Amino acid sequence: MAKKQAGVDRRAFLAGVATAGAGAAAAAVTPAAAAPEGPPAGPPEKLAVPGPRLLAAETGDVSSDVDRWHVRNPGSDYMVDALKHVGFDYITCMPGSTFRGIHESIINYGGNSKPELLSCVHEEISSAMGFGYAQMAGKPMAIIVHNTVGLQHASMGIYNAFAARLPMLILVGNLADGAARRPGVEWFHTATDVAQIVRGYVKYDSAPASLQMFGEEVMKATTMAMTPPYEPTLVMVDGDLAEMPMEGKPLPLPKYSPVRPPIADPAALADVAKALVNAQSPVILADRAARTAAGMASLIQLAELLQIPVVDFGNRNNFPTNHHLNGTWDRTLLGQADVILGLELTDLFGVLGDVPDLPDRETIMRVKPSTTVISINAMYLVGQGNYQDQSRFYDPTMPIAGDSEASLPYLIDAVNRALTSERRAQNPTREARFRDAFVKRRQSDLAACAVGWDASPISVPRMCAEVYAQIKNDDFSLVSGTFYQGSIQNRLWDLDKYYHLSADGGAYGVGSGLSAAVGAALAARDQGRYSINFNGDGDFMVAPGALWTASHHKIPLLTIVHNNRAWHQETMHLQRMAARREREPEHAKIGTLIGDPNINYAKTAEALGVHGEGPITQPEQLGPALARALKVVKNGMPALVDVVSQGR
Amino acid sequence: MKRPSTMTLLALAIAGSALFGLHGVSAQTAPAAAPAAAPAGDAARGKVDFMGYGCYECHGTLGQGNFTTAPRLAPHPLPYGALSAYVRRPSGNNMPSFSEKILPDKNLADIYAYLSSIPAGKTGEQIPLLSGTNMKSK
Repeated sequence: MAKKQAGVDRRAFLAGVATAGAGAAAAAVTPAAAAPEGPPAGPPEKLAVPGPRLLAAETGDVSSDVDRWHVRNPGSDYMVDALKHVGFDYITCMPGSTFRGIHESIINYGGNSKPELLSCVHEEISSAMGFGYAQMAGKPMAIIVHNTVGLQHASMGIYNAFAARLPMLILVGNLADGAARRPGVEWFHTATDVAQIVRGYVKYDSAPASLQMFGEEVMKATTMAMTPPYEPTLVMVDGDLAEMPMEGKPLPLPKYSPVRPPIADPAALADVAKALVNAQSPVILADRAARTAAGMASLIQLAELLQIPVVDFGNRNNFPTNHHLNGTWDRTLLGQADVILGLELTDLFGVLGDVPDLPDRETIMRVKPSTTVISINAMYLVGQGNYQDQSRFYDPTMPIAGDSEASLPYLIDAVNRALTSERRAQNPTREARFRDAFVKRRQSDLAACAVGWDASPISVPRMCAEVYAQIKNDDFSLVSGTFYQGSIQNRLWDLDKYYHLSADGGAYGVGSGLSAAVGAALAARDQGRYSINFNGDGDFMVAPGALWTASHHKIPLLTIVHNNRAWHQETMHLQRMAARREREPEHAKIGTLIGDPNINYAKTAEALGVHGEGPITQPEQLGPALARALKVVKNGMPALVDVVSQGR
Repeated sequence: MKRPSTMTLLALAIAGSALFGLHGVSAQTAPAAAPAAAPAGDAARGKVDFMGYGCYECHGTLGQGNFTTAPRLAPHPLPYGALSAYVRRPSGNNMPSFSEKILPDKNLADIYAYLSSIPAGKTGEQIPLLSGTNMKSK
């Protein structure tokens, strides 16, 4: 669709810049092949009597590169070079006309490789895939969305990434020049300041007014997104910049250099080391601490050095579930602790205290007033004013700004310097105590999981055990949160590699779980693994179209629908409200159940091109159904098993 | 958007983690003074009430409990007096109070009869998928 240009002689401008634009393309860092020649687009002209515009086009000073119908050196080619230069492997996309120029450049100029365009049927899928991908890949994905309506759809996935401290580069199509917009839809799909929609939960946003600035802003935005705490950033893609030829001299692409993460003050780390060495009952609390396998390895090293138990909150796979120092399920640890080291805790108050869901909203604390609380957290380095994701204020004894993963090696060095022979001699006794506690805890968990084993709807422990029995000897990734399954996977599965678990729920925005799992499974596929996703039915129905993306792009992902036929958490909330008000608790299911009719998720999957099994209502049916589905997944495609299961 | 819990996930990992391990509403949470005998109840009606009043939502349809929301109630429920006292005036932070106004004694007795009728199933050692769980820590 060619735009009608108002006012200035756009055609003359195009001709004037054509040569320079061609040179710019040649100077790109990773120039891609030129687009093939083809027939001119658009409706046929009436040729019997040439009109003045056609006459001018036929007889005017038209260069070989540009005429009225063609642009052979569009600015969006340079934009693609910028994305390639940074190293984006993928860009998710639901098509939108405000970014049609760069869309075409990605697939034709860029060869649809690095970045490869991933087709999505909803922008929330685009952003949530980026959220999940970043968790598993350890690097950002680019997403591109339509102006206004597209960014509005994408917003929740972006907010989840923000809350999860995960990087993402958001590109938003734009038509800044109102005089160049077509009447109608292009006005509805433009805002004066569209980034305002998500500004409260992106670290940085920019609207480049030139191609040179676009290249620089992509570098800047990616650099900022990848500086701890990681968060999404946004760059506008102006339609005219993208669709018109490059102008002037060749555009150099700035160098992209990842920023070294902030390390905590050495003097402060020395104080932390002394506190840990001198403590009788220290505990380490790890939330979004380990960003990579190296982070997990460092945390193991620190814990073993002093035989300190680690409570892992599951947003990152900080600590092996089968390590004797994994103290996640020992609720006595906090109350007994004399020193607590918190690493990237999102909610320090919420760990150490609580506000129970009772009408009086009383604040209670779980730790002794004398406990030394240390908080190493990169979130001290940034702040946002509107969204309350940093939770309630708590004043730790030692607040320390810095990235935990980057700081851990220096803390380990400090502990080694502070460690005395007397303290080292305590380690064997401590280790024996924690090994014994580990065995007793797993035995207790097993006994609990056995209760209701043959129930229908199928018990959640059985659902998890049936899955694990079939995957435990494989190299897999679990790409969903485990909270709604009672974290049984964290309790009984051996998740001892960093990539075994990618489970950050971000801001708990219901509806992004499936898409995030698809994004994470894509990264896992590229690393040679298949993935497992436990997905609540309520979450699933928000954006089931993500399954189509998984099928279209051949992403091996087994989705188990934890189908309790409800927004079960809300059912419990309503039950609580009705009981508190002493009226009709049996009505609390109105508006919180998903039934009458029951949804057939297997058929939904099949309609989206994905192998479906179920609904599975009897426990003895589950193992064979999982085996059939896993066979599909191991052949490189997604599959789904609908398990009619207990609420929790 | 929806809250995942009445508590944060972080807090649940600490405070709620051992609920399942308590194996029911334990002596540490049950009121001390409790009548010994359970009133007669109808287990079939109790099952309907257990579902209707929403008890299953947190405790599971067989009263099996789970790690995050509520403890096990069956098999072998607590003495009726302890259970009914807890239902009326729970001492924990998660259990809603069900007064007699909305859950009459007769219905509670039926629910108790249902819980008492639930047979004990297999133990973890008798279930191959569970008995093979790794017990060796790293």
